[in-house]
Amino acid sequence: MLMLFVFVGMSAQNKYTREQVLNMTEDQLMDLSMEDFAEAIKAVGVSNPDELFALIMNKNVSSASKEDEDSFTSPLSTTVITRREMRTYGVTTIEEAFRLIPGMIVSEKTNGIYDIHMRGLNNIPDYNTYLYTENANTLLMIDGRPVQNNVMGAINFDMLPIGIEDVERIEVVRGACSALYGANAVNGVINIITERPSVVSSIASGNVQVGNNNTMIGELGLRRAFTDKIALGITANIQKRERNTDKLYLLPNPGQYIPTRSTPELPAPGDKLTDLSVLGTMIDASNGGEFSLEEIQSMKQLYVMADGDYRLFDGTEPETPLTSMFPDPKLSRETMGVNGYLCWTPAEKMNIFLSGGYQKSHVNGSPANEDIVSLNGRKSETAYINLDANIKDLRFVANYMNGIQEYVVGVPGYKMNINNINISAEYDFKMDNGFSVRPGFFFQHSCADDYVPVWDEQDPLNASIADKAMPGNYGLDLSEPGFRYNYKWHYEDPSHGFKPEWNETIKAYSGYNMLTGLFTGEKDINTIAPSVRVNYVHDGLRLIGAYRADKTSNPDKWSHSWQFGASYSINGNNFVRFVYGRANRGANLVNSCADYTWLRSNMFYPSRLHIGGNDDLTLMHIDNFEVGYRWRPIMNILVDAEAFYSISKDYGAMMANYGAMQVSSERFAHILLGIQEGVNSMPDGIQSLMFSNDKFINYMSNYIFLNLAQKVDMGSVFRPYADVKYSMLPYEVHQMGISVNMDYIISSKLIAKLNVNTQKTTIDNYYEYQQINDIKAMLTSSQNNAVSYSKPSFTDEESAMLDMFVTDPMMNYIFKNYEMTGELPNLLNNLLKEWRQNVVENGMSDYEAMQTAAQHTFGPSYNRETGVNEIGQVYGKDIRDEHPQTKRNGYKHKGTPSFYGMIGLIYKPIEKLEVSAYLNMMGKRVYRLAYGSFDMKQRCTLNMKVGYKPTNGFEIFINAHNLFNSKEREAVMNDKIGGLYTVGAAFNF
Amino acid sequence: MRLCLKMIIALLVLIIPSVKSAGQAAQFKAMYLYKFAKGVSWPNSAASNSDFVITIVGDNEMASALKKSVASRKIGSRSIVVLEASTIAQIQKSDVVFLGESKSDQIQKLVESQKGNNVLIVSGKGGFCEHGAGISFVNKNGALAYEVSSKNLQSYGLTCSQELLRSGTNVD
Repeated sequence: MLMLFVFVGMSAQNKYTREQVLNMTEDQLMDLSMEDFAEAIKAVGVSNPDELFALIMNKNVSSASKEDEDSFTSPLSTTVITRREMRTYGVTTIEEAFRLIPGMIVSEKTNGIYDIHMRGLNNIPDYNTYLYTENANTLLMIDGRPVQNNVMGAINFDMLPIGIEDVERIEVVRGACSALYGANAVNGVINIITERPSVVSSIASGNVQVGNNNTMIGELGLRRAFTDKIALGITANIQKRERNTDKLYLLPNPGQYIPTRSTPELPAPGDKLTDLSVLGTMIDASNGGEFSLEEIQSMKQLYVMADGDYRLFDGTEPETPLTSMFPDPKLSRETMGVNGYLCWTPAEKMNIFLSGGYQKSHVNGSPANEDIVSLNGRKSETAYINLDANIKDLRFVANYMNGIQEYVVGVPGYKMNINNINISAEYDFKMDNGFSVRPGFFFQHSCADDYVPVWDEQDPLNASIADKAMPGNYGLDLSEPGFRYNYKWHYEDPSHGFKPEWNETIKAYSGYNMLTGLFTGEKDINTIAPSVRVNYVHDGLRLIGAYRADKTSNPDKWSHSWQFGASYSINGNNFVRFVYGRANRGANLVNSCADYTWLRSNMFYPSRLHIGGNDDLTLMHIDNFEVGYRWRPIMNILVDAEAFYSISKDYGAMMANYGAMQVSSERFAHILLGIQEGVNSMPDGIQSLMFSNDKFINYMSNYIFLNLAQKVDMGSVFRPYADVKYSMLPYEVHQMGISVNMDYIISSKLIAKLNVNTQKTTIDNYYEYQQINDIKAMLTSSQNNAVSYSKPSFTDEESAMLDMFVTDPMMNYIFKNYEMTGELPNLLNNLLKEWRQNVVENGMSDYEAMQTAAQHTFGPSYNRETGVNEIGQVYGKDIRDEHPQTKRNGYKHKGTPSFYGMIGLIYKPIEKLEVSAYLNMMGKRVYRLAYGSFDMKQRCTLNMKVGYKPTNGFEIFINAHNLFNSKEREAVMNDKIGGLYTVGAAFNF
Repeated sequence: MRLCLKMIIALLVLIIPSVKSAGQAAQFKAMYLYKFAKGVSWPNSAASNSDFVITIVGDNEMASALKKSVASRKIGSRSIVVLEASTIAQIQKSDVVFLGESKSDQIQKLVESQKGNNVLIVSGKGGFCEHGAGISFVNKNGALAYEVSSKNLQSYGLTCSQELLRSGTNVD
């Protein structure tokens, strides 16, 4: 029996040993019989490095030239990352995957919310709003469907419906490619390709992780082919994450004081601060920093007035309740999405891909509104449907997206209904001689309507400012008699209700649209774009030419983009490419159509700030030259290097446009009536003199005005008004850089990945336009135009007359020391003359006479559009010309780091265990914003994942982001990002 | 940042002495392809004077390995020509088409496009005989092996030797 076992055992043993086989020549192996050969291969015990090659080296790409091709021979600077690679490196969001891709600058703002750039060109112009730190230079697409935020002109990943489980691969094409894809592809394109369900799809796959900061991530994908013609897929993703602090970053601003417990009761906003020692009891928050919501809400703003008085104003608008903006200050990300996919192949060379989905998100990480704190919430609830049909050589794509998006949660005016439509058709004419021509036509409709949802009359109290109702500014606090109206008054007492028609009344009375939103109505941009692409292939040579013309409705202009590329495959292991492209940004609604009036009650200058779009803007464009080389020195190393140089022009920004002092005729009439008794009680002689002699009328106005200024807040008489408009800047930005990416399969157990990027950005025609300083200078100049003082010169006769008739010592003093000049005294002169005339000659009552005169003098109402009732107008451009900045060439732009990159390793000691780690590096940056200059330190973080697969298709893992918990800010004025440690499980059946 | 650069250099130094080429499996697969070509019969193949065409889709490494392996070999009297394609549309008339793992999702497209041809479809990824491949490579107990479907081969007008059937796993 024993012998039998030995015999069976021996016969079951392999005929060859591993060493024997490895010592055989290739010819010897190939000459073996099939059975022996199979035995020999078995003896070697090949693990599956091919799988690694498929993962790392042989990736598909279709974005680069719109054809499915091998990424090695892609004619553009292209990088592909697959879902598998993302999972292997422990990536938890699509955004985070960009840390593994060359040319991408990734900064985490709050837990799971990222600021993502491709090669930079952000924070231009500098010393302006935080909005310009967002990425407006990259086109973001899902399956070729543009998912750009066309309202604010940026890419916002948190508003995407998909998660990693939807993704088959992400293709990143660097360089200007608007000609192939359309506007916004200034620095490149990110195309997220979702997995199309098919017979080879996993039936079920998913990933669940939980970690610190109450982080919870769950994703699921179910896919099934029902016949060989129809396959369906459904996916779901959910993420909930918290910040590691509940404090908010207060923007720096001189004179910010936060009361403490020891601070005594403070005077009312705008009242004189007599006891300056109270300042010592408050926290000086002039330099900004992290404070709690309550501390920021109680903040005061100190101003030193022209007369030397100290006055404290409210630091935050009562109408912008931080509690509405931050219902949960700890929240960083709460997103969910569901998606459905249908693949139908009804006939040969015909396939229909239909997808649709829904997403809902609320994150804290939006930079849209810069009121007091850097952080803002962003909400989105949208649905989409996308049809992608390929019929022979025709590709037809149509999609629709609709929903409500709120770019600054809780601040009226930023919530709107979004409608986006994209339709495109392209046809590939393939010729036998190596040429193919692909003409195409595109249509895009982007619409935002900030008047929805409509007022709920049945339940007005339910309409909290954050979540409901028209995004109009209910905080309008008209100081005019009979019109005291603010949201508190309204919401705290349900009996007041709100009638939309009141807006009309108030508008007629004050000239202001009470229901102001970011757009104050429905605004849209339609784009049509014909395009053509020509492709020529001959042996290893490939030439590509593309041209596209985009006609936007707003601005009503054509933009042209083109691209020329040549690539040559020297042999299977060396590939060289050259590309030149011109691309432009897309038109977005904020830059073209913004119409937002910020009513700043109880705040210092300006009391009205209007932000306007420019329908005559020119879209920023870039010319980019690129040369690249792909090299496979040995089978398991792939090096991809590229060098680029670009020149971009036609930058624009919200700049000081004009400033004015707005005067309320009604207010004037009312206040003047308050002093009428004093005037009426003067001796007739004085009255006659005053109303007959221009000089005395002027002094009378002077008296009235100064008297007014002492009695009431100047802001209620004069309303300093600043108009900010999207304006073009002369900047010419030069950027050059090099990126090197290397994938190295060291062995079947060890894979390395590396990318390093170095670049330099300089600006010619650079002027240091500081937005806030411009606005301040504009308003000061406007106030001087409206009214200024000098010491009067009297003749002896006039002086004697004054002494004789003006017995009031105060009036006498004013007359002798102040001569008021500017537009206001002229208006007041007319007003007084007419008032007097109405009383004396027309027999009107004082009130009627004053009201009629005021209306006549100032016009029936304010109207900022026509300029009526605005005095002392000054243009921002004139202000800039008056104080010419020194033009600088070669100005070094430091908003983009000069060095960034990553190095990663995947180690698989045994089949069931996989360890991955990557080091993320970023050089120092300097952000220059309206609030000052911020140095961002260089940083280096290590991420690591250890996964164990007890069975095929199932993995349990621990995942560490920022392993050493280095609490540094990655994005300016955002959170100090600490470590995120999760445990989880993934399956794939 | 200097620290980062030092770390990169250190890591590079660490990884440069490569353990060995990881292209071994591709080499084995290439040899297998040749063996399959020998073990499968094509109608009228013996009478044909044309080249024996093997097209590799989406796997450069495999193509290079195969070119090297079969440089001086023939199938019967036919010289072997190895072509490369990166898409299904690029495939010319072939006797064998090998579908690389990276292109696995194209199997249906490939099967449809080759209907009516006498072609051996070999898949680089396991389990694809189910989807119409004649032979598909699998990783069996940590070693390279293959599955074969004689039914699928027959549908393309091919027959295979008993030896080929015995050495792999017959999935019919």
